[in-house]
Amino acid sequence: MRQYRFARRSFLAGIGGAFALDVLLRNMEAAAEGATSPARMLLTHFPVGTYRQSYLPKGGQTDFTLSPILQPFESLRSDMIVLYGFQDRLSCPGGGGHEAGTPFTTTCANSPGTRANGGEGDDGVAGGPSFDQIFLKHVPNLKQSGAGYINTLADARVDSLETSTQCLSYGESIPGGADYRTRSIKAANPGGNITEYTPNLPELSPANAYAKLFSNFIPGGSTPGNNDAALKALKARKSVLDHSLRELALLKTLAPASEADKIEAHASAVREVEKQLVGQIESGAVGGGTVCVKPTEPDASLKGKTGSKFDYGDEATATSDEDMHERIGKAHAAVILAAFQCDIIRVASFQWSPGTNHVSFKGKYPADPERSFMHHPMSHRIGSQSFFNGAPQTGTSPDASLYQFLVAINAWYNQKTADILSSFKNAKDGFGNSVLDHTVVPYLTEVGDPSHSRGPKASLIFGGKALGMKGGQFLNFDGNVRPQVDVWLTVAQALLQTDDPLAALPATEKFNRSGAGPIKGLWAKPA
Amino acid sequence: MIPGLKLASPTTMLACAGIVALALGCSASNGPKDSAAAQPPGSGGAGSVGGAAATGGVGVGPGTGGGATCEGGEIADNKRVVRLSFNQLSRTIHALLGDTFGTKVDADFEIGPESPTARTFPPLSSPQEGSSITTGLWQKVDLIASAAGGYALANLGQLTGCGAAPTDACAEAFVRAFAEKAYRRPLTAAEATSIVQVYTEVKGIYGTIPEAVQHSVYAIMQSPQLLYRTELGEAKDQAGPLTPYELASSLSYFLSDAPPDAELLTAAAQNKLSASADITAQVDRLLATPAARKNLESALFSYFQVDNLATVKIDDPAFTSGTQAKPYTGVRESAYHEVELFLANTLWSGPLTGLLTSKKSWVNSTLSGLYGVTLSAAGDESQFVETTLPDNRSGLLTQVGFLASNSRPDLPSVVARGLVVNKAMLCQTNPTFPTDPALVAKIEEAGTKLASVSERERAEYRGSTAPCSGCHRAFDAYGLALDRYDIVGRYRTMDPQGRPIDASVTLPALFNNEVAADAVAMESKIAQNPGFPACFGKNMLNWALAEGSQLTPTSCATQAVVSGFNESDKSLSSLLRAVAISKAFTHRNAGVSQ
Repeated sequence: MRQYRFARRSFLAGIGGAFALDVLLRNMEAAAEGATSPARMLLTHFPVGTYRQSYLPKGGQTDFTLSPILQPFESLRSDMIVLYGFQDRLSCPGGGGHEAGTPFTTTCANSPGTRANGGEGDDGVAGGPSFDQIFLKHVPNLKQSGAGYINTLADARVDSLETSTQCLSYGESIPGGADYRTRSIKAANPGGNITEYTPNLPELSPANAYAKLFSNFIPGGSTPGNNDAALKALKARKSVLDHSLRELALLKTLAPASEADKIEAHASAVREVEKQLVGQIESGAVGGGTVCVKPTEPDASLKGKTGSKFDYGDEATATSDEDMHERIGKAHAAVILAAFQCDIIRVASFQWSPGTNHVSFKGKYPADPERSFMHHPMSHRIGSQSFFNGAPQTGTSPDASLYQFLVAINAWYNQKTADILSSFKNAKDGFGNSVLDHTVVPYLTEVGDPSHSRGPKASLIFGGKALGMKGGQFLNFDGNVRPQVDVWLTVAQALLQTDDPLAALPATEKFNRSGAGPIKGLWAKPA
Repeated sequence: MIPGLKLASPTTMLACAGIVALALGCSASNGPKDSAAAQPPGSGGAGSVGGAAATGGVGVGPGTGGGATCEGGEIADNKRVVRLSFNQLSRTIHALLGDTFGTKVDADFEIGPESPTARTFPPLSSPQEGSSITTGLWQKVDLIASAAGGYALANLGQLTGCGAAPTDACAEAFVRAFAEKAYRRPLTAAEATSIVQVYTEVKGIYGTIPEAVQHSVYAIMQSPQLLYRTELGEAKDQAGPLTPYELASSLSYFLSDAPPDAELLTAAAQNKLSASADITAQVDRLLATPAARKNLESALFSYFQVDNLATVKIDDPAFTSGTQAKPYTGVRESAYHEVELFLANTLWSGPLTGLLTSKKSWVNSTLSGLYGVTLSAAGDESQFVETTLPDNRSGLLTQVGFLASNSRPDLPSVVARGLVVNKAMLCQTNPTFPTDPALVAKIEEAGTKLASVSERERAEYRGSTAPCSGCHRAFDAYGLALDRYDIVGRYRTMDPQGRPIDASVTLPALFNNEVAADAVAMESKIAQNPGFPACFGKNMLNWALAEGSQLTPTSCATQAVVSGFNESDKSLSSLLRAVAISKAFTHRNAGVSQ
């Protein structure tokens, strides 16, 4: 039974008011001395790469001036590590820049090919589990009972039916074993069938994410009446899940062996949630339990858009998406924050939009400031890496306007992410500590720049101060590029509390270890 | 804006257009050799049309229509449990809890016929679906089931028929009956016990009947008996037929994507689904319903990837898009709807070959100029009139919708169109794009050399130059025959450079290298080739089996269906009947026991 020690007042004061979630945690007496915040990981992403000269800070490793693109993170400087110069030599037959780049970024594994999805044929599949799943398997106490993690996405519109760019998490960890969920699929390249690590598709609706995470809680504050209602709801739900497990057990006896994995996957999903229920029932919803009371439900009308459209050459839209995009993204982030605070999950992913997004923005294209244009389709107007990584462009020519448009959107995403991370910084968890201090947040992108280069790529790491991360640093490896996996291994140091994560992670894990290692100087074991 | 449009993407060939135009070479080792040898037995399942997906089997050439050289047994699959696709779950929810609640669930959870993934062919191959209910899928299903429980609580009297203050007896009776309806068969004793246990436990927790009903409905809606349909038969560890109730579910979900109706369940109860005549009677009954016809038309619409029309980029001002208020002022939307009407009117009357040879289509004023026809009835652009096509057109392959959705933005793509015909109509194995850097460099070099020659000259180069010829001889001819239709689908006799376009082609070896004078003649020859019904037989069987099957046109299971089809009037309905009575559909092998 976990015991929480926290200060209710400081907790409430720390809530990021911008997201309008009132999370109330009941005061508890600490039963154990030395209880501390758990380690957490939040995987985040920004689409379509960046623009070197407008991204790179000026100055030294600890004494630098933030660039226009990074300026939104100024208030988080001490919680931030700015990195540049990652490039992978991973293979994905037929994989597109964004489409292979996205699974590459989070799995760091070679891919067997692309999905036959009826679209372009460049939809790269994951050749290994993503690091969120790797950590869930190997980092002690990272996986909570119940869902264990949540993946969220604020907008899912893509070009050509691709799954890859709208998913950061792959290969759910199978409980109790060394394996992850995979499946055989038809391949566009190289043809035939290939095995992919199954995409753990994100939730587009903050209300649904909320429902998935908080379904075992009831609204209201901590009163005997609410506690009683909570306990009843838990027990009733357990009865429902027990029924499912009985029927699945029976089905397993009737079906041949070839169906066992399928039935077991279903049963495992039910069992995980039931474990959480049982834990809550046993810890008691009445008189001394550790129930986290349900926060306010997000607006059910907020939901990321879906669709697939080849908009190149036709990038203008009648309206801008950015206000709604911001609202949806922040609603997702608020749910994740609340789930972290309530310690329902310790791993999550939050993605604004796919690398092949169709999110439109107004007023950011100087040549035509009154109109709205879609981000990724516009990025295709020029295909030159030297253009994107060259000198910043000024003026209102089409090329210069395009450059400024893309930089402005990169900065926009950074501003909104900074808002979110600030709320994590200010929010207290059940132990009275800053959520961000105990959460490592890799903020990654799937390509180097809009030319679809595999690098050099930008990456940032936020948070994790209490876990040993050393923020306030800038390192540029361009000219001596490093593989993306080095960012993950740096994160792994904080989660595994070791300076040798390669030794701690089994050699059977699929990520490419060639030339890999954590980045020195970014982590030290806390005293 | 295309009404009801869900999916949109270019074909693989279109998106690889830059390479396709230069795709003059491929390794001979990637060529479409005998897939029965190249692939594992029974491989080459249903995958979607297009591109470099090396799926599908060898087309059956002339004179090889029978089962003499078929692979595998007539029973295609082992006993199994098959999860309902989200569209099937949607239809099931509508049937159980009504359209008001069903429509809300469709919208809240993005399932149902308007969802982005509703029409993958076959459905469970979509990444949003999959054959297993893993965590993410289960969470969604659980939320839906919980919502159903909430709906039951809020509409207790109306749903249960027990009034606002139900008695235990009435409520329990409702729960059992609801479970039976949801599971699509009578409950076993153990199942009845289990669901009543939920009722009793929850009543004990809350002390009230409404919450007990709520959670019973919740439990039923997330039961494996609802979420999967079983194909286990009567006797464990023995091959044999599906049970009557299993067959009822299989038939209904195959044809209508919906649970079995009362009549089908009654037939199951009376064990009147074992004889072929009984099954075909049900098939005919269901095929007469709008739901089944719409379901199958939509499946074929997706199969031919006409969905691409919504998003294909065509650099020609004549390829207009309509508005929300007047969609059919646009060529894009009109062509889309023309294909919908063509399928609806052609699939259910006359032979299946009408897909290729019918001289009728349904054209509006927006399209009439492109076809060079005069409509027989006046009206605005929303009126689609049955029209006889001119001599230079027949069937689907010469429709604006098919042609435009398989064009590059600037040029019709001989290779793209050829590959689509090769796979969609004949289930041939399309080669993958070469990835060898040296070969790609050669391709680019040849592309530069041939940049200014005609499409025919390029095709002739590919057909006569190793290693290109190893692959391109198998499919370029189809695309070349269609080269007289430009990127919008207009008929032309000259290319943009003023060179005459010769539409006659020498068809591949599958046709004994016969000559077709033009696209219409080519379509006629495809229609007569045994590979065409074998391809459709394979596809319809894989659609019916939903997942897992790796049938090819030369599988014995497919050949059994095709034999039945060949002895019929050769309509789609007959093909579907042949599927429904086939051993592949009605029987399962034992599989390895636990």
